[in-house]
Amino acid sequence: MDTTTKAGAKALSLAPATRAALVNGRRPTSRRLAPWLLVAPTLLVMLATSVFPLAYSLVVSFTRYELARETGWEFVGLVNYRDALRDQRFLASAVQTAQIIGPALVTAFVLGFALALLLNRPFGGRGLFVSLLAVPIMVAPTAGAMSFGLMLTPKYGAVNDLLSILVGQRLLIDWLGSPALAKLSVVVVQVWRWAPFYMLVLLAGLQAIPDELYEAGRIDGASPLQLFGFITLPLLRWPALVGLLIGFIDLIKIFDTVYIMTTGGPGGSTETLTFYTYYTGVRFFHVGYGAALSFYVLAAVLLLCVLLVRASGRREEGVA
Amino acid sequence: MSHYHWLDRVDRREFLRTVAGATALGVAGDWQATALPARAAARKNFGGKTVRVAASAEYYAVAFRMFREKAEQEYGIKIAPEVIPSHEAYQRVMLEFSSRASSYDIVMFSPQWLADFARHLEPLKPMADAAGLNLSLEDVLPAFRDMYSTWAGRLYAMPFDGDMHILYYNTAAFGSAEYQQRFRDKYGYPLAPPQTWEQYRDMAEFSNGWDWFGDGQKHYGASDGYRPGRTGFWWFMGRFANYGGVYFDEEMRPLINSPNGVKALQNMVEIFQFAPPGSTNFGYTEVETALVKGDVALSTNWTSVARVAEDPNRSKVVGKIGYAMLPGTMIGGKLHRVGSLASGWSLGIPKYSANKEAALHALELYTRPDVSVKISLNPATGVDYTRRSSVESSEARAAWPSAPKFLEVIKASVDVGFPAPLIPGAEEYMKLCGDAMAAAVAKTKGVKQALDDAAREWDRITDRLGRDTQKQLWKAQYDAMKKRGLVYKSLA
Repeated sequence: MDTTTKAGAKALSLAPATRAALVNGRRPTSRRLAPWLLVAPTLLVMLATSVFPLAYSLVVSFTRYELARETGWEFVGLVNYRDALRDQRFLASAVQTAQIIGPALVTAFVLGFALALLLNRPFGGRGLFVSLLAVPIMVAPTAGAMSFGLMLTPKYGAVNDLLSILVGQRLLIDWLGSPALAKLSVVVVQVWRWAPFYMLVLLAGLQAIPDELYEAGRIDGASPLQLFGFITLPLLRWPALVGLLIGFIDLIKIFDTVYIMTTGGPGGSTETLTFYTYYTGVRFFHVGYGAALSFYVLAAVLLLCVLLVRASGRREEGVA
Repeated sequence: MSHYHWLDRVDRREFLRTVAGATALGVAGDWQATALPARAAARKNFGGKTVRVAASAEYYAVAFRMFREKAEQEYGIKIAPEVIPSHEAYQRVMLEFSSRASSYDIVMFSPQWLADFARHLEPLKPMADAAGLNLSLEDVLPAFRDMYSTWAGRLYAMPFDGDMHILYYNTAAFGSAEYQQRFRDKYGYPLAPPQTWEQYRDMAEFSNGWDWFGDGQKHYGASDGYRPGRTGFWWFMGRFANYGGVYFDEEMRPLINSPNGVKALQNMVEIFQFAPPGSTNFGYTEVETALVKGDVALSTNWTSVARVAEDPNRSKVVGKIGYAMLPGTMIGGKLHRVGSLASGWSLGIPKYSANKEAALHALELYTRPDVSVKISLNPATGVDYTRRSSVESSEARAAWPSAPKFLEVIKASVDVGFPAPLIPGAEEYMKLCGDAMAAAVAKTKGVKQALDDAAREWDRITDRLGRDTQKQLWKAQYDAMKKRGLVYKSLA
């Protein structure tokens, strides 16, 4: 610190400790602590609600801990993780999760994109249409699943009634009674939930594309298909990617629809990763093993998050 | 991998007492230890204290509300029932118990959970003796009292809902001479309430897909519960027991995948094709609805269904329903036919309740013979008889014209009532077996494959909980079953 600063500090008639800190090139303690004090409440809440439970469950996942048996904890290392890889039911639930979220994501995305393209043109009442189409996002997932469960009831459900009117004869399709139809029903509910989300995301993306780009394309003689392929699609790539990854991360945790509509059946055909983890850890209190299963799910989600971050990173580089 | 079991942390003396007590299951619970004192002459008043009850369904809450005023008048107790759905009851209550707490003063639970719950419950007999209360245990139907109320020789639970499965048949599908002739022509024997599961299958096939009811609608053969897990297990158990099966052999090897289990499940799978659409997710209420709406000719379900079937406000089949014990099987030229004590609900008092004495008085009131019979006669409660005085009461016999026959079926079924597993982890064993049943019905697995997989899972549970301990506790249960004539009948 030069003599000017020393003189300045003295001239400001600061407290001796503060003046000493400034003279020694350090900020006063109170000023150094201030940012920490400001973020402390948030940090504490995060520690209590996210970090601690995560760390606790990680520790538990290395133990054989049965909440219902009063056996206490027994450290077993990676045994739970190894057992999970040999657990046919867990592996089957992973496959079934993929069989549900794959078609659900693709169909919801295509449908949402189609709706976004339709709604991207100005017409009277567009705002109302967008709002109405977005309603499924606002409906609680459990309420949606319960409604679909009732609508799909073979004898008294609205779906069979409507189909019966359309084909002119009484249909009694057991939508949740066969593995293929039950899976399809769960997929349809997810499409109903997620298509409006993609519609909104992609509509926002479409409206952010400058009209000048299309005008320039038209001047260069581009056909509507070329405009779509060379302008619309590339510029929607990033919103689409982010939307797909958000959908993927949420859908891999699919639980409520399955719990309410099928309870994992028929014959375990709709038992998903989180549903099986719930049964193991919460229903039968194999807390250690259940924690290990949940960390496999978490690992899958984290992998997708990394992909998202990397994709965003590449986008930034591309923009720069 | 090192194994441990739940008794590792339990005092050895306590373990021995547990096994010894469990061995006494069905022989001499502490209900027999002393002569029962007369009901207290001077009734205690708790001055408006609230007793919170965990009721495992709304229809059980109805039962508690029925006598709320009586509880207040007699004991000064305010009864506050709170519904915990039955499929969540185990984990909700156990979660509280595991943290040494209970929001409830009385918990309703399935007797199969007693092995897991007992250490969190107050033994009732010493409390009742100290309070001068008579729980009238000698009047409780023996199967419920001896197998479903005690653990380690101590009374921890009072039977509240005496569940068992029986056979229901719609007489409209059986009565006509034309139907009789058609059936005899096709199957070579008379159309009558089925004695065996094979006959049940034939009659379900015969009644399926045509209008035997005369209302212009297509009707179905049979309705049973095929919902995965615990619910589906009850319907499998009724067949498995009647095919001569028991859960484990003497060495604790699962027998659900024995020929008995395979035949029982094969029968379920075959009959499924004659069930109403949507049956893969059918449980108690859906099966009941199928019967009382006249959709099906045959059904197996809990005994509370009879009251609904005879209730003109809820039923299209009033006066048309017949009752019988569950069908059996011909084994070695003899008809093997047992009852199925599917589920059941009992009341217990958590050690962690702050109002144990008031809870005990409430428990006494709600399981008292004169109260119990009235609860069981109300179609809105879903509560089945638990007491001999109830099934022999004039009120029960006069409830509807065919009630005497219905009560005879109950008495016959309970006398040879086959119990659910009563060892630690019972809920999990049952869930996995019910899932296997559902997988075979949905044809995601073959019958044998589904049961083999479930048997492997059962072995895993046994190993995890400690094979030796489980073996001893199963032996205790099986010994009690043998004393009631319930032994394994090999079909191999």
